[in-house]
Amino acid sequence: MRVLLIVLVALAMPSVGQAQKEKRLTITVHVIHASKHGNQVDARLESLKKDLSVFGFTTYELITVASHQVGVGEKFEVALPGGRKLEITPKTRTREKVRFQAKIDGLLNTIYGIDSGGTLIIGGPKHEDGVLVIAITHGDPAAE
Amino acid sequence: MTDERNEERLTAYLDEELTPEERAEVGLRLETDPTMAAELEAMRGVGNILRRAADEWERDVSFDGFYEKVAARLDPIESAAPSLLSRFENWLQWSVRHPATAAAFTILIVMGAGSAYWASRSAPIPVLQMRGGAVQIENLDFENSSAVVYKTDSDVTIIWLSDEDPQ
Repeated sequence: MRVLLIVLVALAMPSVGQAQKEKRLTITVHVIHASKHGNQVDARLESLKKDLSVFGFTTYELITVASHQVGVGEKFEVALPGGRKLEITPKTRTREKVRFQAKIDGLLNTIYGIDSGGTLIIGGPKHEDGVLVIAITHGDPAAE
Repeated sequence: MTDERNEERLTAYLDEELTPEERAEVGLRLETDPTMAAELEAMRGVGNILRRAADEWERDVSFDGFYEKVAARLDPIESAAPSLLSRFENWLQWSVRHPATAAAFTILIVMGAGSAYWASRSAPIPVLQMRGGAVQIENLDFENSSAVVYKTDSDVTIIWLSDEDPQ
């Protein structure tokens, strides 16, 4: 009986931990190099190519992906090529929407509200022979 | 001399505990007193019987492990910490006596180690899933460039920073 109790507690622990994690926000940042040279699109970026078709880029290269769980007020930093960094901070949270602050030093400082699971694109900073495109996905639609 | 005194003298005589003078006196009396001499012989006979019995008993006694048996019955003294090998042997014996419990603990340990291993491996890079969502930009500060805000057909908001219009 004592052994059964220990086994049940051990199996329940991950569930408790998982429950704690779901109260935080998952932010995923894709940093992409887009250019009009060549014709190579990373398979994981097909949906981005479709949304940026108006810009005429033919090559989309995934530079880095960073994902992190943060609470309101916690800062999430992602290093960008060229020595810059992106800072994302959840400011407030309601059931339907979360307000974020996104900063790229020397370039951008914005506060916005977005639905859970939504993606915001920040693009345009020059990088090598093309531009940087930063896709910020807020929250995991499957978990929230 | 009373009978009791005679017996004491004779016992001392047999055990050679008398002084030379006392031994000579008893020896002289034994020569002249047949009753006392018979009593001495009787005492000698009993002594021989007892000695033979003790010898036979000693032959049947084994003193192997005598010290350990005696020490075990004394108050236990704290010994040095058991070696790693003896601890493993103890665990092995315990596992044989409690197989179900040992199996449950082994399974838990393996599960924990496996979870830690898989968690330590890099997770596959997530596919970028563009999901539209209502975005309300409350504040937009662009320092050294211009900015244009677009919305795609799939309802994705794009903030485009540039020194010039990309088109």
